[in-house]
Amino acid sequence: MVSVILHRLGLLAFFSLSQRLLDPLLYVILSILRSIRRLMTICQDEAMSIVRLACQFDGTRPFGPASTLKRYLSILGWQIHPDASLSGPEHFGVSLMDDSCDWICKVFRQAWPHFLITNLNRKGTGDFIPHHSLTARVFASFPPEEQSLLIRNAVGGFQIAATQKMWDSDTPITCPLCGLEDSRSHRCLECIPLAEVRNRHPDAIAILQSERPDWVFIPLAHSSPDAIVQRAFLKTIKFDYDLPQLDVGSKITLYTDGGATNPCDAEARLAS
Amino acid sequence: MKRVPQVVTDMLHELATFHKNEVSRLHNVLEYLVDLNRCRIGALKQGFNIVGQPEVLEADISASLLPPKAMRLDALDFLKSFAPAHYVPFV
Repeated sequence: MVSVILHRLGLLAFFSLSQRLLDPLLYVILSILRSIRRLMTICQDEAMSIVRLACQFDGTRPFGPASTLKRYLSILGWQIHPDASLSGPEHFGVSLMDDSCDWICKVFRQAWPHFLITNLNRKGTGDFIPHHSLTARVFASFPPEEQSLLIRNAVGGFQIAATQKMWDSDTPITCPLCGLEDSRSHRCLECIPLAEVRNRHPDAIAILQSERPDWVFIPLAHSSPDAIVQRAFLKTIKFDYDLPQLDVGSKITLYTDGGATNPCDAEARLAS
Repeated sequence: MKRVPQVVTDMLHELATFHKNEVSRLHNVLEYLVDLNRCRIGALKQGFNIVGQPEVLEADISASLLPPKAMRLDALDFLKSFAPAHYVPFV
């Protein structure tokens, strides 16, 4: 089993800044879920027996693949049900029988920050759930040279003097540019020799001072509080239509009028 | 599309607006952080106006046993042949 470590804020930032990097624990869980989903297509009985075993396991020491899956899921705050559906915190949910591997991975990646936040106890985490893909999208819009500066900023590359003093007792806790006490907020909002930079970015300063003070510590896009309501609403929709049985070998053509509101936003998209 | 309740449509519009604003906010702040870090690194590199930093003295290596220029294989050779005073190897 991949051991669970107390995730640090820098780690959260690191995985939030990339759309490809995965936390090792999440990688393992997604590999297991993908395997079960594929097995569901090839041999449904075998897959369902794994699901049943996982559901029945209620111990803390896993002894095989099914119990390991159950243990991982319980660490993340997810539950597995006998119908091969998984339900998680904040109304996240997937079905190992009906949903695609891509969708399962997408939902788990979206729910991942919730797990990290509940395991964090650091400044800057605030009372919000970070929006993983939104942060990564904004970050990717910067050129590589600027991305390297932002990564260093997010993962602790520019340590404040108080942090440096933990490693070297000779380091003073004062700002090397102005002599006042060095801190994140001092660097971003107060340091006098850097006033010229602040004058060039009045909007950013206003955001840091009033709307997003937690971004002084780590700039991660917030998830909308409405996203939980939206997921809860989607869960109420029952797809119990009498769909025709289709022959897998034949070509199927589906027609849609293409109408959609907010087509560029996966969470707010509404298609006909 | 008309069958979707107005409340839900409004909620999704609000969600999309929130995301757009969040992208704009984050982009603004990240641009500022790039500029800030770049200027701060530049100021620290100049060094002349840095206050409160201890003066780092050059290390005194005159009493060092290892030749100061010895690196890698040279250092290894020196260490292999090194013996303290009055050391008699066990044969």
